Amino acid sequence: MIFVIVPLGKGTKEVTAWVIRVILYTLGSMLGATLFALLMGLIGQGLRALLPGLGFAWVTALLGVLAFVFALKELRIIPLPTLQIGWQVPASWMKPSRALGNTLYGIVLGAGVFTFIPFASFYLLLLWEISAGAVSLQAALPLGVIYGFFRGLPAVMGGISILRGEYPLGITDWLIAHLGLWHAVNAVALLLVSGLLLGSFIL
Amino acid sequence: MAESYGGSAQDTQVARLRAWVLGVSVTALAMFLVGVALAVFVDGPARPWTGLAYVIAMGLAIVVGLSKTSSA
Repeated sequence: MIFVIVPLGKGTKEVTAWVIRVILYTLGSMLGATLFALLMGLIGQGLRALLPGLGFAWVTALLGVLAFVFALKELRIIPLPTLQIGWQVPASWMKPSRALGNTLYGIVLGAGVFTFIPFASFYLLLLWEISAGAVSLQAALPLGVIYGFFRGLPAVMGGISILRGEYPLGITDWLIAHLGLWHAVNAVALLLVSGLLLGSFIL
Repeated sequence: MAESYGGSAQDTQVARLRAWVLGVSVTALAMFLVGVALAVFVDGPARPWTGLAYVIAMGLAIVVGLSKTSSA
């Protein structure tokens, strides 16, 4: 992604242009994620209207159980199918304008559901947005903003690395090279969430 | 000699498995206790949209956001 935003071999005179593109990509990522969080929140509101008797304690328990199940999937203990669309954003989006193309890339990748979803924790985040949105849309949106920002952050860091004359794919390469470890990090995060939610529910 | 190497590798694998199971169990138990403490001292079951549970959701959003970087 970083080489799409910041093509290699470009002179420093184009720095301003790629800085703008990186910012647009990151803002697009945040916008896409926030809009999707809004959609999840609205689904939550709809579910709350349909099931008014469903108390928050049961929602807590449901999220806790699912977090545990997803952790087992991340640890490859139970082989759950991964629901995902293996689509990739087309390069043709860059033809009319790189700025527009990067913004669209950000929006689509930020939404998260149109491309690969290799981590089950993403589904828990969506469910959390639904649960939070059922009570307050304002509570669902920040989750999308934070997710979108950190989804776009590696592109910003890669661009900064290029400016410094360093290799720009440090984080992405590290993540790919240590995919097993990163799945374990996700599993531990899910176990923490599960323990917290189930522990508080049982009392 | 080969058997010795094979046995050693197997022992290492078993030791890793034990350490892994122990680590996961301790982590899950620790957070279970945090959840219990939260329920006792704060405000009942962790509401996913308020307080500590919401802060944890934000942490999850960070982990998921960085994780998805490896997919595209």
